Amino acid sequence: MNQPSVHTDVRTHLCDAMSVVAPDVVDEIATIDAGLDFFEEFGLDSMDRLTIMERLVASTGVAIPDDVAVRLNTIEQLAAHLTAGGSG
Amino acid sequence: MAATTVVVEYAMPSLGADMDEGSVVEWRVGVGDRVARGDVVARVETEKSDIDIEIWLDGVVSEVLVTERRVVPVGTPLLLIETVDDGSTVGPGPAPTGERGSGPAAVEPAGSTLRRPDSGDAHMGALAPAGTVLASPLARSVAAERGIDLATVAGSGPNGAVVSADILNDVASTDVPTDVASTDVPTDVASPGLPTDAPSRDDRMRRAIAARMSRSNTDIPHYFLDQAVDVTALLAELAARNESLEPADRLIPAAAFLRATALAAARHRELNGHWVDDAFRRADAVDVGVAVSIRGGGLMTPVIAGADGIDLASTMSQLRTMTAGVRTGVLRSGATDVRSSITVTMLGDRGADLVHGLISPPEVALVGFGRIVERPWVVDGAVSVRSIVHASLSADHRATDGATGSRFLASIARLLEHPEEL
Repeated sequence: MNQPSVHTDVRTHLCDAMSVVAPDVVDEIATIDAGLDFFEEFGLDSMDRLTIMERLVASTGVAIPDDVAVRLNTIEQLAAHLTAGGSG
Repeated sequence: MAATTVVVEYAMPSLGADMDEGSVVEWRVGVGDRVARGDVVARVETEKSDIDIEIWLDGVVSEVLVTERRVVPVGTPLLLIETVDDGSTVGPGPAPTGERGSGPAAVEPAGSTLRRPDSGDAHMGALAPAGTVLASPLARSVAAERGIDLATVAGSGPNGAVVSADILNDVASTDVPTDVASTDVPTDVASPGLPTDAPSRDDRMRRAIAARMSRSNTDIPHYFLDQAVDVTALLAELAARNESLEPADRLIPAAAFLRATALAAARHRELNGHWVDDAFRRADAVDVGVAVSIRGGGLMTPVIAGADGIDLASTMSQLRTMTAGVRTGVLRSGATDVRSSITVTMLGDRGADLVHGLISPPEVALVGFGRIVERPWVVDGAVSVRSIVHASLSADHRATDGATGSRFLASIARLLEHPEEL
């Protein structure tokens, strides 16, 4: 799968996750720079992060350990982890 | 004493200390429905959020007294409930001030059924996928029920989001289809309950916060203390516990901060209560208000009742539930109709190192936590890198002095530095 396609998939999953923590910025997920820290960009907190990771795990089936979750701040980082099946 | 059937009024509850009025945006029960304590009977719009209100007794709805969308003061009777009075337990329900009410008596209804709300998490469900209209969960629900295309409704919520009032206004201002007229939308939907020039919820919330904080700043002689706390061991403990947990069950430092505050408040009761009629009244329970920011501005302060009596995992669970409620704009009344005895605010995730907040009257203390940062720290005579957070206390000098506040903060620090005690 090529990178733009992976990023599109990640954005789709992220839109679903973001809908419960920050519905006001869901529309921006489709266009946000893949290298941008969206937690910082959208003013998300640690509870939001937990909820997003929970939703991503549920929708992708890929495990996100706690120590990894704190390092997944961009579309690119999420894509790398998810395409590696949780071992990235 | 023989049980007798009585009719009890169920009134508009106070869903926060600064709530004076509210409107039922959706009834979840009708005449003849059986209700049980804890059932959601209506969704109420307040200046801060939509709140699913729970009833405090068992019985059968004999009359609905207030139409949807009509703004009524706290304490206004909303429903008449037929219930059984066995002489001991039919109480007045939650007082308008937000105190918890007494328990109800049981009743044997005549085969009626309760129209339960949608599944409990319906309001937490997915919102707009990319490219669709931004709207609140309630607005989506109302639009779907009424067959209205959200794209045709002008939104007045944050960032132009469509809120339920927009849809009802839209319905009221256009030709009302038959199926809409049959859903009990009052003909006076635009007035007096919801005048078209009414201030937005954001405006009303800011006014409520302004009034409350002005009162705090004017009436309460604050004193402020803070203490740096080494949370290295706490973070290690949480990491160890989280290693085997799924995201849904993981713990974050905020839960530990709440737990430590609750335990410390239980030990230092002079900071857990209210200043009323020129005197401090100790609260019977440790009911911790948690300041939760609302995206787009403003905040809500849902309450963890009896917070000193639940463990860390339960504290985390409640924190998750109430945060989700604030984020999605719909809370359960159980998280709002208890008057908090002390409040915690945590701004570390927002970047603040130290919080010196204003007390929420009539409480006498506010505890703040800032950002966790790595600092050079002396431990056993040697400098090492440790994770440090500043815990702060804003306290009412009428109720306590600095020495008491310092002991309280020291208790919080000790608990956080010994996470096995949490």
